[in-house]
Amino acid sequence: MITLWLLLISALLLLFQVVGGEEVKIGTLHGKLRFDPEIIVVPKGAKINLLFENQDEMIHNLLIAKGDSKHIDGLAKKALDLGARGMDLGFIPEDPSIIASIGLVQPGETAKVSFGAPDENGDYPFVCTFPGHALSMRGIMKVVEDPSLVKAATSPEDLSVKKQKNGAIQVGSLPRVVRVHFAGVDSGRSIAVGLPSGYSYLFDAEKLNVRMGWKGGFINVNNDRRGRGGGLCSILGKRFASGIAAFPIRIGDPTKVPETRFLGYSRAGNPTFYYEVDGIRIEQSTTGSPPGKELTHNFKVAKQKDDVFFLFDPEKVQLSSTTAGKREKGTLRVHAKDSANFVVSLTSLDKGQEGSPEL
Amino acid sequence: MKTKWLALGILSANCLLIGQQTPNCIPEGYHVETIDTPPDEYFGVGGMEFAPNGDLFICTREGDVWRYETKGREWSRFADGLHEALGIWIDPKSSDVFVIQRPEITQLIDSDMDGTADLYKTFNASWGVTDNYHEYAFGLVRDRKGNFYGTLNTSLSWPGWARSQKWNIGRVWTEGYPASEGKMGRAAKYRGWGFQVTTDGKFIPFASGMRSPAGIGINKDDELFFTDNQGDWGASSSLHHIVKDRFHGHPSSLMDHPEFKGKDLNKIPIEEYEKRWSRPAVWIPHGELANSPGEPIFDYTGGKFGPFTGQMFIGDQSRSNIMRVSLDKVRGEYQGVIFDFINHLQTGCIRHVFDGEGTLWVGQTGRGWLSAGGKEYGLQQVRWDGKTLPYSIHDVKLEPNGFRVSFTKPVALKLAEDPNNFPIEHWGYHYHPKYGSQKVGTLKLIPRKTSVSEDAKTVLLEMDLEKKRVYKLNFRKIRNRNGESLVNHLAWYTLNRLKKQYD
Repeated sequence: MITLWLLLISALLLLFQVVGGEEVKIGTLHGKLRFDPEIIVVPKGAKINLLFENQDEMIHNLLIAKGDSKHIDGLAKKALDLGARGMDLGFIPEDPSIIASIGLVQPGETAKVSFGAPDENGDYPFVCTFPGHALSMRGIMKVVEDPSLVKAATSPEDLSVKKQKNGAIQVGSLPRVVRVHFAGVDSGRSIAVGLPSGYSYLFDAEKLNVRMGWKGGFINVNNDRRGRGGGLCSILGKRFASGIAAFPIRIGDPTKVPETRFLGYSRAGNPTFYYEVDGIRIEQSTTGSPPGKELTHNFKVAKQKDDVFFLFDPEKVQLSSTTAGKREKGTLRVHAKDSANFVVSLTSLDKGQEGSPEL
Repeated sequence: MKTKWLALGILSANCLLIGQQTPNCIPEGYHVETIDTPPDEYFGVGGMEFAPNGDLFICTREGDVWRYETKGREWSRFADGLHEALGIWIDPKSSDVFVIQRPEITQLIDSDMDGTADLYKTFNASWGVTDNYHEYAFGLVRDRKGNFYGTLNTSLSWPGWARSQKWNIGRVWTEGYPASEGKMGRAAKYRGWGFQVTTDGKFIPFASGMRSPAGIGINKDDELFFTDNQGDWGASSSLHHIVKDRFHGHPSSLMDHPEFKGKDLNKIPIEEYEKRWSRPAVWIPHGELANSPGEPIFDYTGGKFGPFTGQMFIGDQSRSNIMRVSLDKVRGEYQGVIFDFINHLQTGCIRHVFDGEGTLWVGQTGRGWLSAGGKEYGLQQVRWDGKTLPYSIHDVKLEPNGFRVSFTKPVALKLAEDPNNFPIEHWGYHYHPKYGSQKVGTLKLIPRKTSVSEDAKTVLLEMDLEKKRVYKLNFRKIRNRNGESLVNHLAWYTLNRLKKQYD
């Protein structure tokens, strides 16, 4: 009986939604971290039935709020600050400025929300506040007397220019490998790697170590590669310590800083870095693993006769697993015979920090 | 009076803005075409080179390498993620692609032949680089023996401009000047050097004293040239002939010079630097002609690009013009004359390459410096129609007693025979740590005598000459036999050395 009533109520509600309001649809563009369209126009004070269709292969949410783009930056930050609760709350923060919201929508799924459009004409921004998406996934809900008079405005052209200028680089189905300078990373030769899994890390081609990992979005190169440049690239995610200091691979003697040479990298499949340590060729590839603060490093060492040492910082990371070698404090000693191919997983002990602070 | 009106009429036709795509000043017979760059992609050009199959490769400040199939006019991305790729070289036989980016020279290899590079192989990374934004690495040329050459920008070191004190290394101002005059420095090894990388990958610091050497070029005899920007120790923008072990004027690089090891560069008197300094082959007067010159390129098109075969073209990243240079070897050293050629294109011109048809491709980036034309980036072609001979100064060569000026068409005798129609100004520059130099001791003169050659295409302007001066020759009043005036009527000759009677 109750079920029947519920069914009836939902059917009525559905009917009400369909007949009793303005139908609006917002989609997402595949692999682009963009909404489509980026401008919607609704009548003042009307009841709006919004359908959110996520055609992308990443998870997205949607919230519409009152305020300028700076305020939206603040909301995005608030969403990030939800931390571990974020997934449960759909990364929708609590804020009185929010007019409507839809929590996390899986790739290929749709979701709906009904709400009353504001009684005041104006531009009301919408945004995806999933970590790392808010920079590029933005649009405008225009509230007007008569939407039929505002045809041209639905073209997202102006916004696409903005998008182009904002310099955010996203990872799609293939890994990205981008040379960067980050604040707080004193290296002229660092390389950011973004993996489709949502994990990213920074490899230092001078000191031959992974300097940090992060999860969420990839990077923004705007301050470095647009206009006059002179700024640094920034991280669009939550970073965590790699726990690996300079020159972590040592051959034969763990106390001796080796002679090294960077040889380049391959982008066929998971990015692989090539370098020499005391004349011995090493191949390294790195992946991230859940729940969010772990990086797994795979080393292949060319045939040689000495034991191989891998140095890490036990105060910053925990060596969670390895396929070879003997652990000592801060050192993994891998026998020469096992060193051809070994894997080390390090879990960060820090809580993680947002992005990279500008100096 | 009638002649004057006619002349003015022609002048207006040549020099007024006709359409948005048409430069204000462009010699007759030359045309500009704008190429669409990949939509929605930032495209600050850093290097351009043709592959043997005719595809044009362009590397960008954004770190991409694009391939342009010129016939089908299709773009595809060959590589990405590089750090400000500001030079590219492609082997004319093997099609191997090399780019220079901030940290290294990289060979980009498409090992699975799918059309995009998958192996980014470090060819050489022997120079120092920090996260200082001025530490550009420019290139890339290769001589016939297979040696690569490139140039390394100094670091932006003065704390008044730089974000951090950590780069405040190697600024040079010398005694008697405030320390703030030294703006650029050397925060890492070999900043301010031109380098050679041999075929076996050995890095050789080649020439020092560079400041912001944004363009390097090579002629058919494997002689190297680079352009530099006005700045501290740089009186004006300039073109230099690179010779091994030369010092080109900016002292910060000397930190890596074995003779200066352990020395305080600020205790060395300025005269000592000046003695060591190889003056620019050609001064490019700042503000008048260029503010940030790019790559020099020689016209070896065999006449397909018009009547200036063997001469050099240089674009400017700020004024967005293309200039023309004719070098003059005087007593074993290059000096020469520079003219404006096209002024201006849609935005800053930094890289240039000729295709097999003799078309000049101009790679552009504005880089937030408000380049003339206003676009942020772009790609344009300059083409000569193959038949229209523009009325132009062809060359200015030094003689022991003056300048010999040649024109592409016979000049109107009456005007050319009057020395008053050839007003000249000349000046020197300071060599000092200050940012740029005023013109020093500007003098005006009128040639003592003019003699016109039999074919009326050459005029000898006789006068007393001084060395270490820039001579600005003004041909505004000169017409050809049809009464046409010159589109570019100014010539700037850098006189470092005087010519003797029997040279």
